[in-house]
Amino acid sequence: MTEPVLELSNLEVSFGRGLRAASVVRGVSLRIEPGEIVGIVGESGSGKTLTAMAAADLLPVGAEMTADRWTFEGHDLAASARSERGPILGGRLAVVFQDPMSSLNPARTVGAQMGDVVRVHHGQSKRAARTTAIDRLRQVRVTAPERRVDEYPHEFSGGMRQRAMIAMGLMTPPALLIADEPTTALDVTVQADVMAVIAELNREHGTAVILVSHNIALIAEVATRVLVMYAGRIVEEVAADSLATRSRHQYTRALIGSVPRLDAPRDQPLVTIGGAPPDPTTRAEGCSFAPRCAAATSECRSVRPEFVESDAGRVACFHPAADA
Amino acid sequence: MMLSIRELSVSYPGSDVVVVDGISLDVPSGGTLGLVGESGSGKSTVARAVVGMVRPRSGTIEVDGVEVGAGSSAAMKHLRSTTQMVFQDPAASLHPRMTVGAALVEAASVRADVAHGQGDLAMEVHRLMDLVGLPETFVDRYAFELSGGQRQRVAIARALAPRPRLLILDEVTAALDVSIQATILNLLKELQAELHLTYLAISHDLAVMRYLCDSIAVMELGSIKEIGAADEVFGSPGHPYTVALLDAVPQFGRTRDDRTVLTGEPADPADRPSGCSFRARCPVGPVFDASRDRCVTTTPELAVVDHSGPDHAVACHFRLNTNDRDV
Repeated sequence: MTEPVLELSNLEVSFGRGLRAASVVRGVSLRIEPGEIVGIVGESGSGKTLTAMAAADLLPVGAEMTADRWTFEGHDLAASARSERGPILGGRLAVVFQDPMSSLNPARTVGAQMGDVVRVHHGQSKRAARTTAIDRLRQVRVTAPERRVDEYPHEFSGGMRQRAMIAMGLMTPPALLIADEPTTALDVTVQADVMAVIAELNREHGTAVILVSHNIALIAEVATRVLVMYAGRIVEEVAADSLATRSRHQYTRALIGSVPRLDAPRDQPLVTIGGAPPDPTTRAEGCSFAPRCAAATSECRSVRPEFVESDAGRVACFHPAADA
Repeated sequence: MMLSIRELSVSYPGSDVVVVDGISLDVPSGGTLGLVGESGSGKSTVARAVVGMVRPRSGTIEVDGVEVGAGSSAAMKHLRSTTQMVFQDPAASLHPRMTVGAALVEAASVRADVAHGQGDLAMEVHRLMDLVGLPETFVDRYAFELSGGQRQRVAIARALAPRPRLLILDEVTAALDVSIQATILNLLKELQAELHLTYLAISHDLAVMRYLCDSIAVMELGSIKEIGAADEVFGSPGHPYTVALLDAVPQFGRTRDDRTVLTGEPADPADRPSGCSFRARCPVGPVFDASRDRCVTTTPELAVVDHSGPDHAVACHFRLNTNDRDV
């Protein structure tokens, strides 16, 4: 078995203490192999972003994290101090967020910010860093990179900024790229282009990717393996090419049915999920999706389902759906 | 026609850049027209012109038979009683220090034909909340206490308060999770059937538009590239730009390899290219086939497509024959 790029087991993330403690990630385990693209899908508040941020050591202030195991390229991060984790992740892990404007410094040129990566981690000169930056901007299909490298973030369009963020991650080809809703604020055409850039990065540099999104159709197109999260837990893991037909969890099926399709009859209503996800300060017995699930029985409300193997992955559901 | 636009051109004040360039379209009463295109295509500017937020440079806009483009006080009064708009970001369009109830009372109070007693207004608020499926207990809540989908329901309820007949929906689901989007789209369809509303809907997502609309106008750089009944535009798209927009929507059972991904940036309206505005990105245009210099020299006009519906028109010199297109 090869060494995974990233491994997390029994990850818990919470905010606050005592009765008002909100438990937002509950016992999540994941293992990312070199070169694979893993999608994490779920609604707002499902814990998908905090899982990704915990993996990247980027949890916001106030969040508490525990994990039985947390490794990156064989390094034991769980046993390392914060100051030791920086050099392990720096240059090997890249992160792209939803809003690139808030991750870029508006007062410095795009090229200067990109150059920081190789200047800090590899001691490159300013001139060499600028050359690398131009090369990387070209790779993510920014037109006229020689000119663009000296421009400021506000001179870039939304899609260009997002590509610049990916280019920044490419300065030293990373082992893992974490992309959290990287295209949610963008036009569908730009989204398709940014996804093509991410797929190319994966193909050409063997970079593993964690793609986080609420859009299950987008995840299905790009990822090889999909993790479905609900109320802080992974409820299903399924091969992306089997997602539409052989996913088993009732929640996964509902998410799929909510996507407007180009090949469905136009008058067929979209699937909606009644109710709302549970409050993260409560700790319910049973399956957390049961109150919104059409297939739920009394067993679902009292016992939490454990993972069972399904033919395309694994699922935590007492009433798995048949083939679609 | 509930909405009739003729040769509409729009520039923003203090600028000579033509953002909308001579478009014409009609929306019959009870119908839904979808304006589709990328950022900068001018689709939102058309909507702003209809509600009087920006004055046309030339052309006419008629809402329910009354010319409103000139912005006279009679026109604005007519608009206020017939036309309402719902925006993309409900967090930004709701007052943070107003409860749901207060916001709806304010919106309902502008109607001249309802008695304004406390009881009447409370009844009206109850009716509006019921229409959009909000529980009555939400009446005392503030915007920050609501989820994105709930906020959008409040915004829709508020728009319905003056009992409009035409609703402009500007990217109303773009900021929502896909699962919440589905509930809002279903709600809009139910409301339309119940209240016989006419919709002008705006989105960059063609799958959303296909679900919601019965006719479609595809815009690029201020002009209409393709227009027609939704079944025709989706069943046999004639413009390569329409096909590119269709291909960009993530769909199950499709791989990235069997579709066109547009590269490069849309043209700059301030520096309009000669001929077809889409030609620099067009997968069948002069960039890929040098013999097609007509795209550079001559601007294509909308022309009715043979063998399709009578209102299906495409503005392309080399329009596609996609009758058996497999999406």
